[in-house]
Amino acid sequence: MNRMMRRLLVALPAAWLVLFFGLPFALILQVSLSRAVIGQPPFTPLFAGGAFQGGLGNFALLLEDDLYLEAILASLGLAAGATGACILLGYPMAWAIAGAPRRWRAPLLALVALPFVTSFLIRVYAWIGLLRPTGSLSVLLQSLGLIDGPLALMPGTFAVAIGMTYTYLPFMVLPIYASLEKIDPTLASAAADLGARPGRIFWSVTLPLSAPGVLAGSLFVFVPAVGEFVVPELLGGPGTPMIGKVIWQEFFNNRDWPLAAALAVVLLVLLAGPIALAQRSQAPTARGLG
Amino acid sequence: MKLGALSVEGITKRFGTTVVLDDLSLSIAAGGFFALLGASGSGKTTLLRLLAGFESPDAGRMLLDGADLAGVPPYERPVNLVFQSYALFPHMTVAANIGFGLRREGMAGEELRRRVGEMLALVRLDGLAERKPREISGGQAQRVALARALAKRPKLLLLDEPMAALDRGLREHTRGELKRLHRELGTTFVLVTHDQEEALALADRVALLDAGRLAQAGSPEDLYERPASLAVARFIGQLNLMEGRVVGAGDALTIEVPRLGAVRARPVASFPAVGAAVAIGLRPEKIDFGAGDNAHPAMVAEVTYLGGQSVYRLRLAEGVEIRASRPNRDGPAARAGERVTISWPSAAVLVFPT
Repeated sequence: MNRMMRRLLVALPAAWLVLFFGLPFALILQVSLSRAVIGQPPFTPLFAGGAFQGGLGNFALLLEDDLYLEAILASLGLAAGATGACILLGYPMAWAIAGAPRRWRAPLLALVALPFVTSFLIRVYAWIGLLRPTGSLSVLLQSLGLIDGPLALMPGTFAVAIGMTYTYLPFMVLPIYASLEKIDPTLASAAADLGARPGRIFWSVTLPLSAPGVLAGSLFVFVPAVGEFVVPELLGGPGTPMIGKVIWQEFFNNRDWPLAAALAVVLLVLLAGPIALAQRSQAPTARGLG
Repeated sequence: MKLGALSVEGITKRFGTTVVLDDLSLSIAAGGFFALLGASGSGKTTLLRLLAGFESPDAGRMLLDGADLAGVPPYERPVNLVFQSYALFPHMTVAANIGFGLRREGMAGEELRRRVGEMLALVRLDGLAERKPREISGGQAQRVALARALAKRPKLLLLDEPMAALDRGLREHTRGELKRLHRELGTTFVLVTHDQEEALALADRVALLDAGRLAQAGSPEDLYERPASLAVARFIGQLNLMEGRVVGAGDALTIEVPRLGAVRARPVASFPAVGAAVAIGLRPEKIDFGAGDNAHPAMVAEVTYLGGQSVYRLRLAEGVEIRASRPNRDGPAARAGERVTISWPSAAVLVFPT
C-alpha cells in the first residue's frame, strides 16, 4: 500500500510532465522537422510512403535570415535587463518585508501579490495609458517642465523593459523573501560581534545566503521574459522584434508552422541552459539538507 | 598586567514595562573565569547581550579596563561572544569562519593563514579547515565557534550556554577544554549558564542572578557553603529545609523545630533575636550515620542506590523527613526499614531569617 502510494506520488508529476510538456514538445519537434505546404495541416507528414521525409532545413533557414538571430539576441538582452531591474527593485522590497515586524509580513506579501487580482491585460493597458506620448506621465513631466516635448517612450524597447519588469517583479520578490526569511538572525549578530559593520554583514553574510533566492527569482523572471509576447506586442513597436512575437508572426501571419516550430525548439534549448546551470549550483544545498 | 577587568555599575535594563536587570553591579577580575548563573528570566542573557553591545542599558555603565563601553557598537568592542547556537556562517569553510574576524581587521595572506592554523591547533581541529559547518559534528562546531571568537584575541570572551547543545559525555570533555583554553590564554571568560554544576565546575567566581538582581557573588564554595540567602541556598545544590524558632542565642544558636526538637547551629553574622522565626537548611552530604552533635533517631524510609553514592530518605518524626547522601565506600550505610541514629555538625546548619 505504502509502496503503491509512493509510486503514485512519483507518477503524478511524471504524468503531468509527459502530458503537458513531453507530448507538446514532441509535436513541435515533429513539425519543426517537416516542410511547409499550403493545406490543412500546413506541413508535410514526417513519414510518407514508409520513408522518413523530415530534415533540418528549417533550422538552416533560421541561420540564413539575420532577423531570427536578432530577435533572439534582443529577447535575451531585454529579458536580462528586466531580470536585473527586478533584482534591483525586488531585493530591497524582499529585504524590507523580511525585516518588518512579524505581523506586518503577511499583509506586505499580500500587497506584492495584489496586482494578480486584476487581469494582466488590463494592467498592461494601464501602462499604455501611463507611458504613451499623450499619457499621464508625459503630461505630468511636461507640466513640471522636466521634458520639452511629449514623452517618447512608447512604443519602444524601454517601454517593453518597464512593462516586463513590472509584470515579473513579484516572481523575484517572493523567492528572495523566502530565502532572506530563512536566514538565522544570530548570524548577523555573530558577524557584528566579529567586527563587521552593517554593509560588510550584508555583503559577506546576508547576500550570499540569499543567493539561492535571487537565482530562483532570476529564473522565474528570465525564462518567461525571453518568450514574452503580450508586453512587446502592446508596448513595443515594430523596432522590437522579440522572439515571442516572431514565433507568433511565423505561426499566424506567415502560416509557416515548421519554421515557427524550429524557432520554438531553439528557444527551448537556449533556455534549458540557464535552468540546468541553476540546478547544478543548487545541488550542494540540497545535499546539505539531505 | 592582565587585561579584561570588567566593572558593571548599576546597570538597569527594561523591555517595555518589564525590568529585566535592576540596578545590577558586578566586578570581574582580569583573567578570571566568571559565571553568570540564574534561572531563565533572571536577566543573565540580557547582561551578556549588553556586554556584547547588542543592547544598550537604560541606566548604569560598563567599564572594560576603565574604558566606558557606552555607545561602542558590537563591531568595535574588544569583546567576542560564543553563541549558544554557535552561529557559524553556513556558506563559509571552517577556516573562513575562524578568519572572518581577522579579515575585518585587515589581516590577509600568509599571516591570516598562519593565525587560522594556530587557532585550529588551539582547539584541536587541524585537518578540518576546508570543511563546511554542515560537514562537522556538534562538538566540532562548538570548538570552531570558540576558535572564531578567540581568534581576535578579545579582552573578554562571552560564552552563552556553550554546553547546552552537547550531550553529557561531550560536556565533561568540553569543560576540561574550556579550562585549558582559559589557562593557556589568560583571557577573561564570562560564562552564562542555568546549569549550577557547570558554573561551579568551571568558574573561579560565580554570580547568581535572581529576577534581574544580584543574589550573591563569590567563589563556588562561598555560594554553596555560605549562601547569602535562602533563595541562593535553594538554587544551588540539594537542601533539606525546616522551619523553626530561635529559643537560645549564645555560643551557639538553639532553634526549636516543631515535632523534632532543638537543633544547634553555629552563630551567624546577622544574628536572629531570640523568638525570631527562621528557616534552617541542611545539605544531604553533611548528615552522618552515627552519634554526634545534633543526634536524632531516624527510620530509613527509602534508599536510592546511585552507584557512587546512595540517597536516603529518613523519617525523624511524624511529618519530618530529610534526605541524606553518603558515598558507597563499603556499600550502603543502611537499608530501608532500618532504625538508625543520625547526626550533623552544628557548623553545617544554614540559618536564614524568614
